Amino acid sequence: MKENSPSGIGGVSPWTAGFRIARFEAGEALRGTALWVGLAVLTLFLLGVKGLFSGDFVLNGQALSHQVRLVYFLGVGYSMLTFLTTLYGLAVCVERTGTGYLRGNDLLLLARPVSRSVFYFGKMGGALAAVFFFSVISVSLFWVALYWYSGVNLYGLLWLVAPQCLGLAALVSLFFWLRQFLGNVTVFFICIALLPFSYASNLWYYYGATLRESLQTAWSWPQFLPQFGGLHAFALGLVQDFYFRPATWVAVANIGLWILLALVAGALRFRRRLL
Amino acid sequence: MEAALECRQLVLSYPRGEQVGPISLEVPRGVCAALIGPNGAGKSSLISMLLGLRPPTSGQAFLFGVETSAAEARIGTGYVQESVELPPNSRALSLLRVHASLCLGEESQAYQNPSGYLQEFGEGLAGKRLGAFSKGMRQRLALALAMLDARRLLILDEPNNGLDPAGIAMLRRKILELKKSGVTVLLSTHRLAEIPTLADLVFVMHKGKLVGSSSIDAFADLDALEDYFLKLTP
Repeated sequence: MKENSPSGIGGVSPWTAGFRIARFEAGEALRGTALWVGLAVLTLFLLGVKGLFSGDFVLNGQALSHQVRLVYFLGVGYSMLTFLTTLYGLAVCVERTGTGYLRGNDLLLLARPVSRSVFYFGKMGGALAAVFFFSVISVSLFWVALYWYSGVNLYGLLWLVAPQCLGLAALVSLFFWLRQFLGNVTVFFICIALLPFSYASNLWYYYGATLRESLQTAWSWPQFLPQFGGLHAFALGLVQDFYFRPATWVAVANIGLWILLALVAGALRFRRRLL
Repeated sequence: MEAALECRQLVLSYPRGEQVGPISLEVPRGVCAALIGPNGAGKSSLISMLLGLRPPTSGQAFLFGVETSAAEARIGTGYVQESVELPPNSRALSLLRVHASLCLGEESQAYQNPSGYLQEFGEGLAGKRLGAFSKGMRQRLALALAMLDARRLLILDEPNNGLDPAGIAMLRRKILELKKSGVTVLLSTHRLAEIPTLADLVFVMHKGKLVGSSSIDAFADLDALEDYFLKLTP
């Protein structure tokens, strides 16, 4: 125990406090069943890699080359990984902002010499750490499985972790911001309803011209919403020229701005929130 | 020297029109103040404002001269909430460690040897998942967490909830020890029988207002305290 006098009173720096709360929260998030369910589904998905690269595929009487298979496999595979990590991210957010949110231990932590902003970022940081962990695991396993079954060492795949984590950061920060106003199940429902809309509109914007053999699709208002689909297109362009679209940098900037907005607005709101 | 705990015209308005306050009170350093009142009197709301957990609608609250909206005001403060809900998948040791790391640092004895620290509050707290804890065990753990850093102030909201007689005796002993070492204690309780042994001051709340305050010396016995309470909270 430290000495019982005002001059001997300690306390840790806000960064250290935030890090310690995030570490605890990440441990709590990873301890839940969601991680094991996510990993089990991921394993099933990776078994599909074997099927795709060990069998013979014929299209219009012509055998599909290894190279063509790889292009489609990357597109479909990365999309499935992103779907899984997004679902895992939402599950973590729902759980961390569920029954015990701002009650029980959360209140005890807030009764420590910790500012509200530090608690807010610490709590969110814990959820982010858990979903980043899952993202790294999933992309790494994807790369290993591809190498194992097809003999292709596409180590550039590991770059996909960066855009995937950026998208997850946007998802988690927006979830925590919306959670200041709405229940966790409602926020989950909004995310589940809006994500397909974002994907469809963004992917049509970036790839629609290819299908219609025209110039780029006209800019429309959905592109102002968080461009999760645009970020997806950017990520695919990182590893395969077939998917590359120069304009996807806009999606990266868009997601960055949404993260910034969600973090600032969420922390400001949380400072005055009734507990 | 500033009071340990001070409220100036503190008001908390709820969206549905209910209101706690205005409340003005002062608790000097090193004393134990009992906060009593019927259910729904506003005791827990007052405690929440004192800890900075609920920003007051108007007025100010101070802990050791620092406004409670500042995190520094809560340095050296321990708190036990009315109903203890702890994360069911956690273990007591990891919970204790995060609290110890926040208020005492990772070099502290409670962080390095959490099992040893928990032993003081009861057997079997270190092993099980919190979901498997009984109400009494949860309460003991909550007390352990609160007393980790109660160097200046300990705020207890119904701390006897779920405790067995041995637990109640342990709590009484701990409060008296802390009081002896100069720690200020704010005890919100419905158990009037505990008050003459522990408290120096009594505050009575009713329908969101502070309706009475007195030194414990003003009461000849427990019956006198009960009469005072019943007279103020009809």
